[in-house]
Amino acid sequence: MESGLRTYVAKRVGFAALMLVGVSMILFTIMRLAPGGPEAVLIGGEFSQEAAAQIRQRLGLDRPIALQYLGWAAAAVRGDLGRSFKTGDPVGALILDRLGPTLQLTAGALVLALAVAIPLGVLAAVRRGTIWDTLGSAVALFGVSFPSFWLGIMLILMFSEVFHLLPPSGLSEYGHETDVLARLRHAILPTLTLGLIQMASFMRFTRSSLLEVLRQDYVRTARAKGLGGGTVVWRHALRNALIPVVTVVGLSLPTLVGGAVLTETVFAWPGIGRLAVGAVFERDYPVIMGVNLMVSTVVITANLLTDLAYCAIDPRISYR
Amino acid sequence: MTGETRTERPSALRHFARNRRGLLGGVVVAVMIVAGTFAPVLAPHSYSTQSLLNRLKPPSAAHWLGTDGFGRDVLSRVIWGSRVSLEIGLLATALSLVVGTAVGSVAGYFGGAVDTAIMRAADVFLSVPALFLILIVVALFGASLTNTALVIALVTWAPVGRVVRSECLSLSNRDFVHAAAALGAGHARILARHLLVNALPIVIVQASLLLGQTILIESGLSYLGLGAQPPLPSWGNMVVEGRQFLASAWWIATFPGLAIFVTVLGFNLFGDGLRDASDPTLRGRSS
Amino acid sequence: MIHAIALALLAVVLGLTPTLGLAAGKDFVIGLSGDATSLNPVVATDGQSYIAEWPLFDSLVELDQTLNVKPLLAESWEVSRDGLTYTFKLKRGVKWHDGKPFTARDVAFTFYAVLDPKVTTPHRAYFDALAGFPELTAKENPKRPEELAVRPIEVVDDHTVRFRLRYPSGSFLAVLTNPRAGIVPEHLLKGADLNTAEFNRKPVGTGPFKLVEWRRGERLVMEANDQYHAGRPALDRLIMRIIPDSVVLLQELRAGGVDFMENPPLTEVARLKQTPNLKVLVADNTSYTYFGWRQDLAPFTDVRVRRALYHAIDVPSIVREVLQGYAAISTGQFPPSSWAFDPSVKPYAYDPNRAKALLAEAGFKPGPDGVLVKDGKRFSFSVRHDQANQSVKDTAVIIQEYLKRVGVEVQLEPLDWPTFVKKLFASEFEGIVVGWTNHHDPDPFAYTIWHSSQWKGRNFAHYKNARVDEALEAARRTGNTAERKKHYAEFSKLLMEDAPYVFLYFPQQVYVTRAGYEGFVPIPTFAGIYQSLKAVRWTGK
Repeated sequence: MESGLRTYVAKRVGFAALMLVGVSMILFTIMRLAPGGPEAVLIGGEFSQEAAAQIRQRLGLDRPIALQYLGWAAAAVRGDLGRSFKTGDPVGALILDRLGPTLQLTAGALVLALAVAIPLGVLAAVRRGTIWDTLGSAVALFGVSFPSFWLGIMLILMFSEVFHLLPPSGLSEYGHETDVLARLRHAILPTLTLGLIQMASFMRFTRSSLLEVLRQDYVRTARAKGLGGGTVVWRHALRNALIPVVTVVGLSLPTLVGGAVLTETVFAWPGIGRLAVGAVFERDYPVIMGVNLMVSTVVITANLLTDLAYCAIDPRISYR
Repeated sequence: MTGETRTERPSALRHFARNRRGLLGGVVVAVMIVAGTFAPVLAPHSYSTQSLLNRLKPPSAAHWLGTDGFGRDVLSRVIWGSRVSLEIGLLATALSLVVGTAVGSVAGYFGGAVDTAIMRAADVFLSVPALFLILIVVALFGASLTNTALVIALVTWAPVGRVVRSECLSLSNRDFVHAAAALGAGHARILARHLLVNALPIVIVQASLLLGQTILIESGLSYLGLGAQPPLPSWGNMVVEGRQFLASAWWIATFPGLAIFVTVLGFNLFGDGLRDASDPTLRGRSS
Repeated sequence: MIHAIALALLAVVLGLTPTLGLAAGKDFVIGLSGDATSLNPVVATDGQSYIAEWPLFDSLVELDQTLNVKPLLAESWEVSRDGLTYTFKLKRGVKWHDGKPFTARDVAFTFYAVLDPKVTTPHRAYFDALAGFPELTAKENPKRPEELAVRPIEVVDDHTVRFRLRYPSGSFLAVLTNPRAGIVPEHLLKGADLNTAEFNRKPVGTGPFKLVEWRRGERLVMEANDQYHAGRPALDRLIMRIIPDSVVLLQELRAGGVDFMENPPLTEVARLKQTPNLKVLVADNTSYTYFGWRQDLAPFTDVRVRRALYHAIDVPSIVREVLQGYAAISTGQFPPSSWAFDPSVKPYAYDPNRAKALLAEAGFKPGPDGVLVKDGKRFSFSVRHDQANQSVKDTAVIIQEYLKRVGVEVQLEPLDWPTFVKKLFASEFEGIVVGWTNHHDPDPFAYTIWHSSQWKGRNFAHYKNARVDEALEAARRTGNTAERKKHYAEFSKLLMEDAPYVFLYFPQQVYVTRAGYEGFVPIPTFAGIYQSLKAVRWTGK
């Protein structure tokens, strides 16, 4: 058993590393093959071929693609993600800087979403067919049909322009600073925008997952045995129903660390999503590669750990 | 003792018809498809004819939804916009379904090492933030309709694959499959004739939900400046163009935004209805 | 449990981001639509960097509202009779932000850096008139300044610097103004690679403000320079917030989050003018937008076709309806505010019938689908433009419609900026809608865009006219403004006859600021208003 486990872990870790490399290689090649490059952005309005050639040379873009990739990869392994083409700042520092605001937004939204979605989803499933179900499902349905940027724009219009209740954008208040309350005020609309839509999707999933579990044989057996509805639901069904929900939450991991691009753009939120979008438009390759590496690493590691955890918990799963 | 009798088996279709929500969704979907297909006939004006003197006019008898920043008729552009959304949506969904179903069914049927390998590959696609990947491809290679559809398919096939896989996993253990194998049917035959046919309801449900999703993704892309380019109207780029006028000419951005919302809602309702109708344990109960 | 975690996370994360305190009236918040690239006047070339550089760096001379040159770091200057030698006397007692004294050596260092081929800077071309320019900037074996017989820049003493030209250029003084000619400190940059120096992120200048903080993608914070040679500015701090979305920027302005922004959506300007606590400032600009094409590609080689395209487009309507009147109609390379502008040159009037007639004369006949045909080829071509520029996009869409009405088919190809610029300078296009930032002196852009020797440079449209070449060269070689004006008048006339572009418009710069701040001087050059930040003060009204 022990060696089986070890081999399995080794295989999985190896594969995970391979995936990381593969993804980064593909991304790298796509970017180099695409037309245009960072020169135009760096030079701006006073473009000249001569300056462009100089910049390409300075950034090492005239070397063969394979060499460029190896150079990047070798440095990345040592923890050096290079420097941004646009600003010259170390990529690692740039990402760390934006990580705080990103997590504030996405973690906040996730917590909000789960806190509302799970109880609502359970309610809708348990009281199936009643007004609770209809209302809850309707709200959730609306939520997943809304374009997120549209929701953000509408919220800003309502709460900022019309009612002057909340600030329209940004991370912190210019004027009332160390005020944690002001920070919270700034975070409300973006968190709501992101959270409401996530909430809707989680709720639908919780409901359908719980319904699925509730109609399984062992639940009916428990009911037939006379166990009260509450016990059945909470002890058996919910626990099992939540497993797929965890999977779905896991699917939102890339957004969690990669930033919610649309929401960040609407609210001028200085997170990783906007950093990535800007980098793509400006062909800032080191930043793109760095962000991607960070997100893939987090996601692949999380998946790896989850799989290993399942192995440890569930003796039925065999190591292949 | 139970209300239902096992001998009576109303068809799925009839149950779908009794599902009010699904029907409503179906109506919306039908309207959108008709609008998109017959846009040249239905639209009262051309989507591109400008009239600089007629800009930013509020809804009136001549222009039911008003005019935009170039004096173009908003109603006509909303109708034509459904066509663009439909084109991208259908192409992306078809691709996504084909790839997802093929990959998922193979993984679910064969299980074992094949399954593991395929699922790992799918994991790769799921580990990159979707919008990020789309952005890279579209920003670098141009925002043509085909490019957009291709890259949306790239991002959405993996969840489809997962769903199909789990369905096929459970199906492949059923008696009829064992029977077919015992009778000497080859893998391809079993896959096609038995598994896929039974997985079809799931696939159709996914299709409906996917179509809604691609419309949302496309409008998001337009917001970032990619997606369909002028003068071709897509609901997404109409919202973007109209956004600067939100305070003074609200109709330009609001109606396309509403169109996105209603259409996606319709597809979701339709998909939900289909799912309820194809679920055997739900038959006998109307909602 | 989840809630506890959430609160803990929030606390940690909130604690990570630093804060600002703000004093009304003493701090001035400017909204920028993008981040600066580098704060070094020698190498930075994008608009946001120019804006940020203005408060940090001084140039030798500065402009006034009529685009005349005024002393700044240079107290006075003398020009030799033959126009080849400029001797500047520098102000005394000027200090760098780090306290070290400013001397003539800094001036020499700055401009030798601009001339150094190892430094990547397109500004070099502006100093073409300096002696030894070809030798210093040669691609193969460039000379070093010590190796020249005649030194272009000479440090006479600590406060006197002399420039020597190889031909009498009337534009020399004009190019010594910001934003492209800020002076950088020798003691901090000597021996460093200016392209990548740490200095570019932590600049030290002699300007009215010093840089205190630069949080990338978020904000720049500058503090008043108490030692400023022209007197401490009235404002305490300048805070430049980066908000790329212009709609959000406007909302921030209304909500009080920023005090100043440029280029609001033009349809909002009327409303903004009526808002009691906001003020709208308008300044002319030298930049213009045009619709152009490859001059050496058929059918654009036929002058009748080019003039027809001009007649087909109703430029006054575009200016009135799309730009709300905040633009001047362009009749050529020079804006109406320039001394080189010749009001007698008139554009081709909007006349679709004349357009059709000219095209018929050129041999085009209407085809089965309404598009003109000649020799079996449809008159259809692609027009490329920057997909991120809203007004260029709008203009392109309008042009497409106007041309359709005379039977010419245009396919719009919006491209992202890096791809677009690459194709432009590689001459890979048929039609384009784009603009020139231009310069307040006529020479720098007129020569590099229209002279036939510049096909590898800004003349990517491949225009060639020997008489235009002559006029441009003649205008360049004389220091006499009246003579230059004559040559430029000839140049403008020839250009309009040839109709190589449809010259569209010179958009004005529109600024919105909080009422109560006074002292802005809208100078009609790119980002000119930022020069007056040192004089802006809060009157509280």
